[in-house]
Amino acid sequence: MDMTIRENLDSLLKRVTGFDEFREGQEEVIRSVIRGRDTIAVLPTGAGKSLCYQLPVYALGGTVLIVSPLLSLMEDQVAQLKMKGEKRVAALNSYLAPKERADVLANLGRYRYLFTSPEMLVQPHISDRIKRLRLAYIVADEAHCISQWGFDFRPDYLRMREWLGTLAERPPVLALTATASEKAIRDIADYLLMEQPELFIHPPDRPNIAMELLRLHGREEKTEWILDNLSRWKGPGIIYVQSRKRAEELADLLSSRRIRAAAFHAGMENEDRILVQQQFLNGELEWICATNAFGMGINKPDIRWIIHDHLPASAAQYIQEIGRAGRDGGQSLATLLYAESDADTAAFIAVDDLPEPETVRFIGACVEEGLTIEEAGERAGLSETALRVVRYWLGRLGTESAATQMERLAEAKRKEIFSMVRFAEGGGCIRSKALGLFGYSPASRPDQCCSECGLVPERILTGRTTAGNTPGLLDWRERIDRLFGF
Amino acid sequence: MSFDDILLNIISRLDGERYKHAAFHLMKGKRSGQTLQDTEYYGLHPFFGMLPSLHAKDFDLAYRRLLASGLITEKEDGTVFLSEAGKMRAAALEPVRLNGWVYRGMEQLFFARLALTVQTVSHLSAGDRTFMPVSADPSVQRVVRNLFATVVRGMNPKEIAVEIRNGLESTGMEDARLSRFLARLSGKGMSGMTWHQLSELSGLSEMDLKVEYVETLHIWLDVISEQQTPLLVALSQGVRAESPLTGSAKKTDELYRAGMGMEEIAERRNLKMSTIEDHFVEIAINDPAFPLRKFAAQEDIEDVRSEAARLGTRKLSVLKKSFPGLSYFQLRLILARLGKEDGSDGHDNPGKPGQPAETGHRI
Repeated sequence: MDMTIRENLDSLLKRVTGFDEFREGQEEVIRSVIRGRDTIAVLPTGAGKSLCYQLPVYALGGTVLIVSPLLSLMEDQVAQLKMKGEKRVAALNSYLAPKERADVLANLGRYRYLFTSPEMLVQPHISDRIKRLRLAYIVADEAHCISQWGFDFRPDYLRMREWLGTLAERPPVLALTATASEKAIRDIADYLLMEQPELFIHPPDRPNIAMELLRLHGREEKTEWILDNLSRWKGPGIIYVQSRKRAEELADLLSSRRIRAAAFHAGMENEDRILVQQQFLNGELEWICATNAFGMGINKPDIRWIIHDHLPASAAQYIQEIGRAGRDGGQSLATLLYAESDADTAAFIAVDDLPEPETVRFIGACVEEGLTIEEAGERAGLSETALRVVRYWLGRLGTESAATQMERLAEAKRKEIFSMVRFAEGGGCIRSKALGLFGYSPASRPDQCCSECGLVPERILTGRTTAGNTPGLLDWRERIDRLFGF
Repeated sequence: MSFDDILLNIISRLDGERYKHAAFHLMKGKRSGQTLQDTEYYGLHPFFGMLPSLHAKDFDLAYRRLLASGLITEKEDGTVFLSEAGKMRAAALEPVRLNGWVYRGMEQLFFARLALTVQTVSHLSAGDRTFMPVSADPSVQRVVRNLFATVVRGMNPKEIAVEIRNGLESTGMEDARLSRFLARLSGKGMSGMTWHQLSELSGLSEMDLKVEYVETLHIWLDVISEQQTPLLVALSQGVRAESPLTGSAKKTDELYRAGMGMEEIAERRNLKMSTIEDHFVEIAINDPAFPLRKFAAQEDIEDVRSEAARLGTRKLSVLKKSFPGLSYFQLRLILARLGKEDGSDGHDNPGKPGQPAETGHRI
């Protein structure tokens, strides 16, 4: 029996992808889904997660529903499937024009892969249609978002639980992510209503990323360190920063030293953000100074260096961000620049957008008096995100427990930051400590492990020989010629 | 023209009758009764909606620069007017070539389509079918996809390049300006520049670059509508506003024409009465056949007209004092029709540096 499945799987792989062999970790996950089991797969970046949801449908028939956190990610995956010749694929999201959406909805059953967001999924008129489909299985892509965003940013992730509960015959659910702590795995299983899920967990260990931790005194010293080291070593790389202002400051300082760098943050025009990404992918820019708005869905395989100019708010965020280095398997470096004052800043920013318990009580009281929740939110001066979060918890728990929940969420965030502080301040192998945050230990010690075990920069980075040339403004006629390849 | 000069130009036309916000709302193209009225009275059509995503912060910086350099002053009540130096400078300004009233921010759509078309042709002719589109806007992608199945299908890259080049050539804009403009386009191995990068390279501020870019688009689009070359016409499809009315006012207009009263419309559309009043003012501004006399007695209309002319003002608060018996709504309607009936001229301010709107700015 097992033998036949094996043969079938191998020939299926060959037929669909042209590959002869699975990569490590893929086959077990695919088998589990085909057997109809709820499955949680934690595979490191670059392990080939998409194949895990793309292949089983060929054995099962029907439609795969993939719930994805970002529009750009969705569009990217749709484009990649289409490039491979898959025609039966669609994304159901807010990008669609009304007519297109109607078209997709009218033909739902025709698709092999249907991508959507949690927000779209829980809308009644969409979910009713999806419920009538023959779903092969449901996929939560980047499933750590349930735990990372569901509670205080995008509560529709948590509403998926109720949605799954209304399905008459719930198909198996597959959760995919690169990083998940024990708590995140519990949240995923709980909110995706999984029954005794099969777990396939590979530690988020990336031996080709050397880890460096430097303790400096404050911002100025960090700036100096960055300018000094980036003049000596080459990227391409990303510097993660705390604020938009810092992103711009560093990008300008680097540019003035003829290192091609640009800022990237959510305050920029959409067109400019696309241009910066494009320049980075093209190699026209060497460094991006970015807030955490940059990264997910960016597929640049040769990123050599990730520098953190601030303390990330959680271990999951940190591992996700450094995991963008070295996707091509080449030796890369992750540097965390830590100053003691970073902890307070990180804690302040992490809970900044979280509504206060008093605010929740105020909104609860307003609603009781007959105001709509929007009116109440306006009176309290709440941001759209904060209101979304309050609405969810008020509806679930009632006023008093929702207020307490805010305290609990803030406490959880502070705890995550505290564990990051311990990580940054404690001694010992950095790789072991980082994996320890998720409850693992490294399988082996790579040659270039971390700054505690000893690093040789020459073996990791390429030295900078000449300063870059900033191209001047081309004459417009010449630019047209070059754009068209004349 | 720099952003500061544009602002000075607008303030010169508002001539001490408005607060600074009037200029801000105008540039953003706010669809409120007040802004639409201002546009009409003071001949501000070129500037309407020229920068839909203008930030209050950038506007305030420019405004403060004008104050600091003594070109404008604020009266105690907050109205803003030009100093002597400001008047001199305003009189010496080159004529604006913006055409905001007609394009209303839609010129960005034309540019997004052009940029995606150029990027696509550039990659396809290099044999590259996978690239990250410069426009994430699905409606832009849709239009361009359709173009590649129709107009572009029959053209080779050379022809496309020539059409764009000749088109720009014929606008007569200077080379330096066009070089800054085209630096925003992307192609294979060659990305467009961000505003910040362009600013570093050209020495112009980001705001000035954005103003120049919008003006460049307006100039080019005006030329395109005369020349009718196939690709550029296709790219500019639907970019000119067809109706002077905003979407919601148009709906109100339709219901009114179907015989419904104002209150009925408000109820049916579930809108506040004040919103419906704004719509009626907008209709009154734009509809030559607007039945003003259904809303005010003929002698009131004439009295308001002569009083407005006598005082040389269109300020509602001033006129309301002279006509306590008329509602603000009635006054606004009468003002909206000022200079449009009985051949009287609404723009009776000789010697103003700002010229009234050219007919080319009308739809």
